[in-house]
Amino acid sequence: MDRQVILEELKKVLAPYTVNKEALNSINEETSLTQDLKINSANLVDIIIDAENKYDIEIDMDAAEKINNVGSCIDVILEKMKEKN
Amino acid sequence: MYRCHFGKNERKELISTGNDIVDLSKIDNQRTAQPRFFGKMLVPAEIEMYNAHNELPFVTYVWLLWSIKESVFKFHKRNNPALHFAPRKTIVQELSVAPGAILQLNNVETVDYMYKADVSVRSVISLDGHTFYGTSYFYKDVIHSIAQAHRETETQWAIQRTDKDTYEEQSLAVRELFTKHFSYSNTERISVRKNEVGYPVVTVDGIVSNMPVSFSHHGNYVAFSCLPQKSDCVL
Repeated sequence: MDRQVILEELKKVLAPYTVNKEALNSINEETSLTQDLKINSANLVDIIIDAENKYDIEIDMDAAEKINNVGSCIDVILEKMKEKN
Repeated sequence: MYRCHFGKNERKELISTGNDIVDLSKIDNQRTAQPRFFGKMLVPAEIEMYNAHNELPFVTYVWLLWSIKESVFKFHKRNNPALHFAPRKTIVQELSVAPGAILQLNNVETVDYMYKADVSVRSVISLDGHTFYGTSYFYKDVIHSIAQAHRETETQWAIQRTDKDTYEEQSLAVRELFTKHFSYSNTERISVRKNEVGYPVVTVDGIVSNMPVSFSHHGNYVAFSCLPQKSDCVL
């Protein structure tokens, strides 16, 4: 799956936890979930579960701990999708 | 002059502070209770430890441990800027729930502002080869946790209810709460900015202070913890 496609889909995954919709619409791979999108850390597990549901994958916490921006989130999703297939 | 307290035997390399709040009214209880959810936050030993603390609702227990872990992360980030939040590597080893904790949790009165309270829970946490000591406070539906390097450190803190709901407004509210904690005549001299790593730095009269401070906000609450150093007492 193309990284840009996942990035666009991630906007929908992140939307319920992002107050600043303008920032969400202009995300790129460098965008930090907590620093730039101001997502509260209490929602990080929600986002991982929502991403698991969306892509029918399992993201263990070792992998999840690598997620600090949109790009690393895409990396983990692609890695787990590859493991599944 | 503001209130200054110092713990004994402060190890210089670990002068820091970290705090975190969880507004339980904003938590999805059903989701939290799913093993798939709490299994990403707690290690098996911590899940097992709940058997000794089942006077707490399980959802409260899960978020209590989360807030403890997050406060330790904020504490240690100041000493290790490359640190990523790793809830399953931040292990709550011991937990001691005070007899009055359930009463505090079930308090019917909403907390508007508080800067001292009886400790609800004490904890011992390990991360990255270090041991940390946590104190947590329950106020109705809010959990506030503070991490320290030593059990006896006297961290200063305050928590306040806010109707502000955007990040920017809450960020401003927590800074106001922090500066108000000091005497009113001095508030103009104190300002706070974030450094490149992302933690707040206090300046007094434009000079960077070595007082560590940690801000947190969730739901309808903002809070801070700080550890004034001897040199800050000239304020």
